Formats: sequence, C-alpha cells, structure tokens
Amino acid sequence: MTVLAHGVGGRHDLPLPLDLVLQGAAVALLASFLALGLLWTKPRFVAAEREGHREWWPVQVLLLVALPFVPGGAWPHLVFVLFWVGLAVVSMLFGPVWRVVNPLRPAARFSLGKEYPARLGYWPAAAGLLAFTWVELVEPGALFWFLGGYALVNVAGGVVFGRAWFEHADGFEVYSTLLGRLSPLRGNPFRALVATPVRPGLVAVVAVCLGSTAFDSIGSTPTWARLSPVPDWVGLVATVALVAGSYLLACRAFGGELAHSLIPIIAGYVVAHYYSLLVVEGQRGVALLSGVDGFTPNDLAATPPVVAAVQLGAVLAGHLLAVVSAHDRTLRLLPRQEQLTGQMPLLVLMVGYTSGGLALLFAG
Amino acid sequence: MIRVLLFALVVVVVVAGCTAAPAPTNGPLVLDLSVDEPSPQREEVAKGQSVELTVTSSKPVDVHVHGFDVLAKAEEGKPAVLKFVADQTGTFDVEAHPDTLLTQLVVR
Ligand SMILES: [Cu+2]
Repeated sequence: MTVLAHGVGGRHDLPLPLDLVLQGAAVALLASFLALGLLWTKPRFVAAEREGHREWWPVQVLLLVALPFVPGGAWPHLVFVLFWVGLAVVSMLFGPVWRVVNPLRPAARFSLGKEYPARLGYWPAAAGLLAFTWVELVEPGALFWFLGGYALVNVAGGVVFGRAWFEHADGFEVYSTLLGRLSPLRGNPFRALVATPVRPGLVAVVAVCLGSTAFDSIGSTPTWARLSPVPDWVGLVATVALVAGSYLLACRAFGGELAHSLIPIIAGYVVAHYYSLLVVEGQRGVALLSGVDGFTPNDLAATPPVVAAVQLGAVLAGHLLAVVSAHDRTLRLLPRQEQLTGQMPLLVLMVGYTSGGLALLFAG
Repeated sequence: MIRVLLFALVVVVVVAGCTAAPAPTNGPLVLDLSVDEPSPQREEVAKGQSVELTVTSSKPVDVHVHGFDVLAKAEEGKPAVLKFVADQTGTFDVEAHPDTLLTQLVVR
C-alpha cells in the first residue's frame, strides 16, 4: 500500500530553471508598475453576478449511486487528482461546477429551511478546505475519515439550512464558485470577480487556497525535511497564516473588498503546481476507476519544457489578471489623490506572491 | 522610479543568463545515506546515468526510491544497497518508510 502512504504520484516536477524564475519575476515586477502608470484611471468593471445557477439533480443522484462502486484503491487518485485538481481546472474554464454536480446537494431538497447565520459567512468553508489540505499534504491516510466527516456535516447542514449551507459552508463549492468567476465562457471574468460577495471568512478561504499550495511546494523540499522536528501541520498552518497576515497588512481595512483580486493568483499557481499531476496521474486515476491496476501513464503532455512553459505562463497570466482586477477595484475604493500610493502595498505584495510562487517551483 | 526598475530588470536578466547548465557526468552516482542522521540534499543525475545508494540504519526499515520503485531493507549491520538506472526525468524522493527523506534525485 505504498500509494496510500504517499498520497499520489511518485514523481515531482523538475525544478523550474533559475533563469526562468528570475526573468518571470522581473516581468511580473515591470508589468505591474507599468500597469499602474498606464492602465485606466476611472473604474471600468461593473459588478455582474452570473445568473442561471442550475443544478443537475439527475447527475447528482447518478454520482451518489455510482460512488459505492469506486474500487478501494482508486480513491486517493479520484479525490486528490481527478476531483481536487480537476474541479479547479474545470471551474476556471466552465464556471461553478461543484454546485451543479455535488452528490450531497440533494439533501437541500429536504430542508427544514432555517436561515443560515450571516456572521458564519465562509468560515465553515475555510475550515473544511484547511482540513482537506491537511489530509492531502500531511495525513493522506485520513482520507476516508475526512470523506465520511465531510458527507455527514454537509448532509446535516443541507437539511438544516438548505441551499444557503452549500453556497457558504461547503469548502469545495465555495472554491469552485470563486475559481468559476474566471470562466471566460460566462461573460467578462473581471466583472464576475468584482461581484464576489464580501462575507466573513472570505480572506481565510483565499489564504487557505494559496497557502496550502505554497506549503505543498515547501513541504516537499529537502530543506524542509532537514528541519524535521517541525511537524508538517505546523508548516501548513504557518504558511496559511503568513499569506493571510501579509495580505491583511497590505490591504488593511479593504481586505474583504480586494480579496477577489487574489483569485487569479490562486488559479495560476494551482495550474502551475498541479498541471503535470493532472495530465499524468489523472490518466492513472481513470484507469484505476475502470478497475485497471498497473497502468503506465503516457507523459508526452508533461515533458520538462512543456511543464516549465505551462508553469511560467500560468503564474504570469494569473498575476496580470490579479493586478488589473485589484487596480480597477482600488479606483472605486480610494479617493482620487490616494489612488496611486494606495495601490502600492497590494501591488508589491502580489509581486511578492508571484516571485515567491516561482521561487518555490525552483527551490530545493 | 522607472529607471531603477529598468536597471533591476537588466541586472536580473544578466545574472540569469550567466547561470550555466551543470556539466554532464558519466560514471555512476554513488551515495552513502544514513537513516539515523538524515541530511537530505538534492542530487543532480543525468538521464541514463546509473545510481548506487548504500543506506545504513540501526533499526530495520524499508528504503524506497520513488518513481523507479526500487525497494530494499536495511537493518543494523546490514545496509541496504539499491542500484538502478535513472531512465526517466523528474525529481524523485528516496525515503525510509514511513516518511524519512534521505535524498532527492533530480534527473534531467
Ligand atoms: Cu516510499
């Protein structure tokens, strides 16, 4: 059972070449400050919430019925690769898919209709995502406990609070909906981003998503292993706290209002970090699901130059989208004379996240 | 401000251009590793190069080279010897189960 003991995949990507890291960081820095000077000076993007939030309940029920037939050995690949990474990528492309297909969502049809407490906001989602990333990065052996707990809590929440529970408190739906705002197929992504509802816990969700991916890089370096008395869960929590702390320090009172602008950075880093896992281990996942063991994936789509290009491209694209969306939002938030200086801390922070993310793809 | 940034960019690009590729090696990579006092580092391996690992341990452990799935047991007085050819690229952990990282092979 070596697979379960290790999460999934026996291989990490090659370190990103140092010259690409430095050039990428330089491009991010230069583009950001050019953007500050050259971009528009009046806000452009009017918030537009995307309509037509349907649910495909037949698909939900079908998935629910299919789950017991998943072979035991396929679960880690199903959850850590096809679901967690696949969900992120599909959401970025097509919108909030988890709400459409979540097999637990039918629970909301039997709801008692209690009102979801507004002050809880996204906090349960942030906690759920942190628990999941802990399982993913620290304790993959706890996967079945996590899945059981997730199912129990969300069915109960759905029965008590109805659909509002899933929208606010289901970490995967919140994650999928946030990334889904980037979908180019459902209108202007910038207008969808700025429409992100600011609720308690939004910054926590964003910090968990960005921090956990960063810790996945940090935790697999020999340098981290040499610090071995420090347990991995401490590293995970510390990285998330560092992201949240640095962000709140840069944005002060506007933390919630600007949080949506980090979504493209999360997306870029997720793609950079998990691309090869998805295209290589994803194949093994499909094979395991269909009952085939000992399958050898084809890694033509993950040769070193392709992976390096995808990583650099994704991180830089995410950075640019983030800068533009933060710029536009600060124009609305700040009085005219403070607009230029007021954008600086967040801009510097984003350059830091981007260069840091690139450096982590190199670091050993 | 812009001038400072341009200068920074030039410096960065020049520094980046100067980082040379590692020289290719022909003989096998030979490493002695200890489970009791692990000090994992990254080791560069050329694709196709052979690798010989000798792992000592005071307790019985399984040593595992990820990706190549080479396994061997080490115990007091009987080091594990693992020999294989690094025929695929990527970064691979060598660990003593359950989770002691011994070294990381960077094959390119
Ligand atoms: Cu192993």
